[in-house]
Amino acid sequence: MSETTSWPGKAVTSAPVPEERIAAGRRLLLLSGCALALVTFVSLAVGPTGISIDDLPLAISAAIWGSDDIEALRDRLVLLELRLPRTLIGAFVGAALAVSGAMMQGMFRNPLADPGLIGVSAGAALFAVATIGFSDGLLSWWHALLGIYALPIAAFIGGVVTTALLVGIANRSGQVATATLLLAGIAFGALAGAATGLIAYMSDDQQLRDLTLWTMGSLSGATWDKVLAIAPFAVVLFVSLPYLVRSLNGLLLGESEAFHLGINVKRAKYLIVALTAAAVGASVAVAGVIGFVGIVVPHFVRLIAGPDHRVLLPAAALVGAVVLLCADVLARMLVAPAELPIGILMAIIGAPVFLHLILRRGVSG
Amino acid sequence: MLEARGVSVEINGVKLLRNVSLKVVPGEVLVVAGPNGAGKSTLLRAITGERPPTEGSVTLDGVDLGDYDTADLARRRAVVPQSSQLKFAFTVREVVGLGIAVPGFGISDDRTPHVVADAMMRADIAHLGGRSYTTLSGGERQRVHLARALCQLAGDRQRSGTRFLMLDEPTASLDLAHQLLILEEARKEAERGVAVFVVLHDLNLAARFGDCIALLSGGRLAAFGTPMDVLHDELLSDVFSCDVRAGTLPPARSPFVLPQACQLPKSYA
Repeated sequence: MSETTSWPGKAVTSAPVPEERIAAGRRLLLLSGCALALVTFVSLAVGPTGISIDDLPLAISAAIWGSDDIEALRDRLVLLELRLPRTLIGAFVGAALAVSGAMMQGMFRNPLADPGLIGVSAGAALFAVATIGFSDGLLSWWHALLGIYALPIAAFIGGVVTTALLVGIANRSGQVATATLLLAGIAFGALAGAATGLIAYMSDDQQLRDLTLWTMGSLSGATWDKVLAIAPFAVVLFVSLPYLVRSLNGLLLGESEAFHLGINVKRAKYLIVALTAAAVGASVAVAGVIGFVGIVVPHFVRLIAGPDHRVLLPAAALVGAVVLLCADVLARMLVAPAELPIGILMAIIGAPVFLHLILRRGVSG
Repeated sequence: MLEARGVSVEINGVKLLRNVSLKVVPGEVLVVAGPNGAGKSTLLRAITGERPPTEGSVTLDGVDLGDYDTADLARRRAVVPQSSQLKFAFTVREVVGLGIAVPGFGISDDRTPHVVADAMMRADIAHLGGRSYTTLSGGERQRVHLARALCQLAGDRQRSGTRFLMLDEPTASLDLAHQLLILEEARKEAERGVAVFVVLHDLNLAARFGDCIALLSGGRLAAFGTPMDVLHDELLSDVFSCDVRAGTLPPARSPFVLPQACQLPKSYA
């Protein structure tokens, strides 16, 4: 305790806020965990065919222990082959996008960085589209080589290339200027969009139908193959979160300060780029371009629990999964028996939040 | 001991630092002064290990800085930056707490709050603990980073080897009382055996708190010695391009400096 610090007229009171924040973070994790369980249940029950909420327990038990009842067997098929993979993909994609958004915002020290907005998703989509467009000719060896992983790995490479270019541009002036980052993202997005359009222009009908998926984003057509395509990338991302907490917290202060705090800045940045590009690439490969999850969810979590990545990263994963599953349930219910592309729905929700962020902070701040 | 030998730094073809040699000794405060663009911040970056010198070497206890692990280095030196890019709403206490997040730090979890509280008390920000960093004034932010650095130095004090504290123009946005406070805290760390390296613009504060002054000019070391040796009319007038009178005041016989009139070459205006 120091004796030099009693300035007149200043009450030295201990402020309770960080403790409150820790409590708020715990509550948020608990609540979003419960919400995830609930929305998983709803997502399994909602859809054009078959199972109602009442039948769901029966269908689940049929799925686990088997059954002779024809109704239950049909429900079991719907559950196992349609709903369950779709729900799993929704949860993985939502969590991966939200966590990637939070990590990019930490690395760029900028709450507006989002894989969709800064063109990473577009880059990933371009590579994915190219592998579809050229599947019969130029890139048939790629499919033969990688099978179900052909798309996610191509999208991953697209994500890495775009992110690396962005990091290069952002670092050129030493400091990351928000406007530069967003404008470069727009340029990349436009370029990738044009290339995607060109490939679509040259495609046949079947390929075109597949391509539309990537530009609008949708969880329809979920299969176990797709679950297998995203699961490893998402799991690697989640497992590595604890190792990134300290680096990301330090990076928020600035790269010099992070180095002074004993963080290997270069290694941390490479790791963040690789992990987010992989997760975003895999998400794009299975569900197309879904924007704004990566910006809305971390923003929401920071409002409640503050910017500490120890809470932010796991909470963003849970909330991201909840948000995307909710959006998917809505997408299936609003225009049933048809369904809305989920990317469109997320943009309707996310764009106003993004606008609010810009108005509050300003692009330069 | 932290020692720079013949350090030169060249960035994009521009020599920012030429052949600078100096020592920062445990228990002493070294003040680095000089006009804008003299290479003070570049020297600081070279000596923290952030930017390895193009020529020459910086060694800590005889081992080259580049050979230390980043975390290893962080356990032994803390830096108070001029400003930070933090734009996220961390509370003051959370920012200060980042100082003890260095791996292998040797502070048990139950002692952590005390270390943070003590550092905040010393930097006179105890009353700001729950405030969001983004709402603070420039001076308050600087004190937050001082507290963070004090936290970082509070790690296992039993560990052998020199520990050092570096401050980059810590008084820039502070009022008189807090200018003295921040330098007194640096002084106290020196008395505990920490080597202190401060970049300062105010020569009177340099005279008051420095055991040694390194005067930089145009990337070169113009003078290196005690305040009484360095703070002289001709040298200062020459280095700072303005007419300067240095004198001493009783009782401590520490010199004081009064800038008289600007003599910048025409190209400046």
